[in-house]
Amino acid sequence: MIAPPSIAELVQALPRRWIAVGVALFAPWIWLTLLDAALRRKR
Amino acid sequence: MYAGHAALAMLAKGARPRLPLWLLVPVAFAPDWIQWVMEAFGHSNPEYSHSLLSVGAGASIVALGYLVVTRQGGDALAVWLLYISHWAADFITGIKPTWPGGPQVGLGLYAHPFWDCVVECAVIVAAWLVYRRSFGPALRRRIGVALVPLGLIALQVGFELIQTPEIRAAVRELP
Repeated sequence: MIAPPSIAELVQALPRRWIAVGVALFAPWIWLTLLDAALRRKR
Repeated sequence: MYAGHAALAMLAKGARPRLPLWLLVPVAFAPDWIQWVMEAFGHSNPEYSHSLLSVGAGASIVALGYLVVTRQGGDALAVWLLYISHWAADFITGIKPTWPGGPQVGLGLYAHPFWDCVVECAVIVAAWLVYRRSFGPALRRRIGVALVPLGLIALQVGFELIQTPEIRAAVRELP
């Protein structure tokens, strides 16, 4: 039986440019969502 | 446009506080997300993600889905406008497709990174002034509320730095 690839192997198989674009897309989402949620919880 | 899209999501949150930011930010970036997913499958085509036609269709599908789930017509309209705003914002900064076989149009501000940064930062500040109204008067003065636009401006500056020829060439070298 062939072992499934690890997450590290899957990430290595992806083009680095594609990962960079993904980080650029996730960054404002994470920043705004988490900060907004934290601020409103203090209310 | 980059951080400007997130700023427009912030603007929508300020105008319609009931709308969650976890939804608004992906809606504002939706054509970029579609292009990113298509790239993963090796079928990237700006006409499918960024054309006026595809953005109009995507905005209508997402807004209709929101309307069906929540029954909030005003919020669904805000979602539609936010999705559509992606094309308008990209028109200012880039060159975008219109419809299959149609012209590519845009003001191409990306060719002038400094002015692109100035415009996007101005959009961020203007949107933040609306967004902060969604907090009570006491909370508005908290430093955390001021951190929101500063983080976006930092992301935009980083984005502009990546556009410099030296760094851009290095990024292009990436496999």
